[in-house]
Amino acid sequence: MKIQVRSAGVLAKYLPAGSIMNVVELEIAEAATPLDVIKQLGMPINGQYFVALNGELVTKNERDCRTLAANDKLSIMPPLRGG
Amino acid sequence: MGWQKKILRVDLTNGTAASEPLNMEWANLYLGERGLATKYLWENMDPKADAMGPGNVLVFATGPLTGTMASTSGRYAVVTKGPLTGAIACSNSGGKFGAELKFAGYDLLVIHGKSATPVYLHIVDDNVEVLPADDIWGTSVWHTEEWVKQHHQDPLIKVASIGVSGERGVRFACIVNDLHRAAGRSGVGAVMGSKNLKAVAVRGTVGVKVYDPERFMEAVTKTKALLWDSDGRRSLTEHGTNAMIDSMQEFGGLPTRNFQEVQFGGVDKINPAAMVETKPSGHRNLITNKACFGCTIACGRIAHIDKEHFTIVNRKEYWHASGGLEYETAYAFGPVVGIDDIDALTFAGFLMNEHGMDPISFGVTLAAAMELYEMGVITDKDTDGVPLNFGNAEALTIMAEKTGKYEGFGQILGLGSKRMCEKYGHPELSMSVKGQEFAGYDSRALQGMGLGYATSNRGACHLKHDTFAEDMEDQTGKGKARPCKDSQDVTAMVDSSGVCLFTTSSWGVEEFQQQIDAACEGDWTVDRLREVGERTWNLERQFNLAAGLTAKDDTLPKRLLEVPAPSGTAKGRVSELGKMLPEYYKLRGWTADGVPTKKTLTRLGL
Amino acid sequence: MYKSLLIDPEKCTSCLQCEMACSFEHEGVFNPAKSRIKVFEFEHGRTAIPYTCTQCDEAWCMQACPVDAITMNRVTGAKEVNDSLCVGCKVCTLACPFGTINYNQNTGKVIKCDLCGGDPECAKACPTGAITYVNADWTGYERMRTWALSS
Repeated sequence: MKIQVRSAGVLAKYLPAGSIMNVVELEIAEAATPLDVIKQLGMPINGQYFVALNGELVTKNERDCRTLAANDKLSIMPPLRGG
Repeated sequence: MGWQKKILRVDLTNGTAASEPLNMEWANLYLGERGLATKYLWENMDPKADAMGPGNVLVFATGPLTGTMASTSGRYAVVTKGPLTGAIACSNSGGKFGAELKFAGYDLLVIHGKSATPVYLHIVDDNVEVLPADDIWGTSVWHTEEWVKQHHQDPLIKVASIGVSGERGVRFACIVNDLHRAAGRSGVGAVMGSKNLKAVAVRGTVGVKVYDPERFMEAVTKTKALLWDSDGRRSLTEHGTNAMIDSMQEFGGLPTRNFQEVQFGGVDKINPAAMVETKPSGHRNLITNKACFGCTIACGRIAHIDKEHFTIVNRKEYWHASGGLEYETAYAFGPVVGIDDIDALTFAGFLMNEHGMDPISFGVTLAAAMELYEMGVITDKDTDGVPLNFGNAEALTIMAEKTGKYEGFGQILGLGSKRMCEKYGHPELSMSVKGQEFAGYDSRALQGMGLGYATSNRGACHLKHDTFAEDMEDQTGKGKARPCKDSQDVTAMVDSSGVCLFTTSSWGVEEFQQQIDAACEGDWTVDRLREVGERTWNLERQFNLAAGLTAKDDTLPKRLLEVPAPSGTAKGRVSELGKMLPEYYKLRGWTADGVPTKKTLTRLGL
Repeated sequence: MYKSLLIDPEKCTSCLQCEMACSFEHEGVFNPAKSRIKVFEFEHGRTAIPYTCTQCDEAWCMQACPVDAITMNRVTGAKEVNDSLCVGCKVCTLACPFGTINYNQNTGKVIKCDLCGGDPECAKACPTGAITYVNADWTGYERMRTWALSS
């Protein structure tokens, strides 16, 4: 099934070709979790990310339990500090 | 050894300057830079003195690691009483000026009094002159730097100066060094202006030694590699600090239209991707990146404005490159005022550096003015005929220039949002703490950030603590007091060492300890360094209490305490400051009224 | 085999670690004012260029010296100043068209890049690769390669 994945900055390079402004459509397995998507994209598994699903925060513990549905909007944003 | 063990004390009232030994007892308790300067301030002035009067003391302070080969060793602090807040002002800057002051042989520059006429300081190692500033008073920072270099026939001289805004007492005027680096917040530029001090120019040929060079270089090599190989560092090098804007937008913590909203539709036009997009005309905003002294990160952006853009199409003098968008500049000229014109944002950023003003405070003050305008409280009659609607890019650039030159409505904006909103009968529209405006993080979405803003000794500040990891994992106020307090202590220590806060993206206290212990004599352990941070924090608190601030000032605007975030991952939430603050005071060893207890003061040697 | 310092200004971020490494190696102090390599900034930092002696063959400095204090290191090809012979007359600083040999008023001698005897500290310290130490015959190869690809 297809979902929309958004990223930015140093993580943008993990998005597959065809992304526009760091947003891309991704084909994923049924009942995949955000952690599965992180693995699928080749991002470091234990990376410090901010993950949001359809505008809701996904904590580190929830990454491997929340199941994704078709047309979900998943954001995986890079680790950051002030400035 | 690390330290030069010498300070330069200047009395502007008498026009005299003399060096004296650094107080090593204090250096051993406060390390350097922010902590040490605070101690000098505490011992040399009455905290009740008028921040823009001759009784205020202004300190430029380097750390023991400033000017060494430690990564990011270019930092220095400007510590004084802030005109914007009436509280301690501990501003921090990079560039090359701080290292040069150290190379000239000084740890600190302590400035007293007020000159009868405009002057500037010219320091070449032991040679210190107080010179007339007739040729530069009334001119911009950029003109001043150029003039000083030409006048002294030295292109390598480093200059820290103020613009007309600082001369005229704009409450958030800042001190700019090396053309586009700044000690930005709390109005430290207005302190210089109130003393009739236009600039400090310094050239140093003495150099910096360290206590144990071999061990020091071992620690430097190791920590440099550690820093290089971190994602936090990579992000800063490749995208600059503006990489934060995409995350904050997704998170829903991006203050928009004076904090009425927490997400902004125009982010894609002003984020790092937009900065590297090439227009059909061939113009690309970002040119390259640059580093401060000794820095292996190089987060600084160099950018230019499209020559066809309305702001500079007929102004050739702005066609050159200069400092590009940082996160705070992008936030303060973008979402918080509802503008998404990247060239307008960049131009306003240029003006901030040219005229010496804090972009955060200016942007948030303008946002308050825009809300007042849209409410009908102020009209075109007040604003020199400029419609101050959210989203009006022209309003941003016109007002930035007016404020920099202290003209028209710029004089009102120059009061800062607190005094301006009070003047118009709507104090609740000033998005600030202790008079200092918020940075680009909404306290309803990031709870620990809200606590940090409320308790920062210099007013709302995002740099004095670090609860990002906790705030992005848990959006309640639970368990935020401890990481807030601990990171405040560590940050105070880093701010006292001479290196940049951005090293904390990969360094823990151990990494700082290895370098400091090799550079400075005496046994510097991790615990001792943590204590330096805590001691500094409490001394700053004491200064503020003596200046008249109380626990009542450790608060947030009603909008953040009562109006729920309208969208984003924290939709429906308000700041839980009321729950976090009592726990915070307890952890600090303070009374319920936020006063350090005798036990705490004794433990810290205060 | 001689090697040369190769400067790529596009990569220079003006951090001045090279200047500190140079002064630390030669003087034991972190002191850019005594560095043999200097970084020059233009247009508000848009362009930053490290520059130093290129160890030219003409060696005007060596030829001008009245006491033969400057000689060539046969291993590195660097033109080195012998402090015990240098009298501080500064004629070499007038002779060099590039300004890369300068007087040090603290010691009364002139200073210039000596490639650190074959292991230049500036190249080691540079975090971005703006300064590298490559075979003297091949300094243009990287640029040639880039152009070959684009043409």
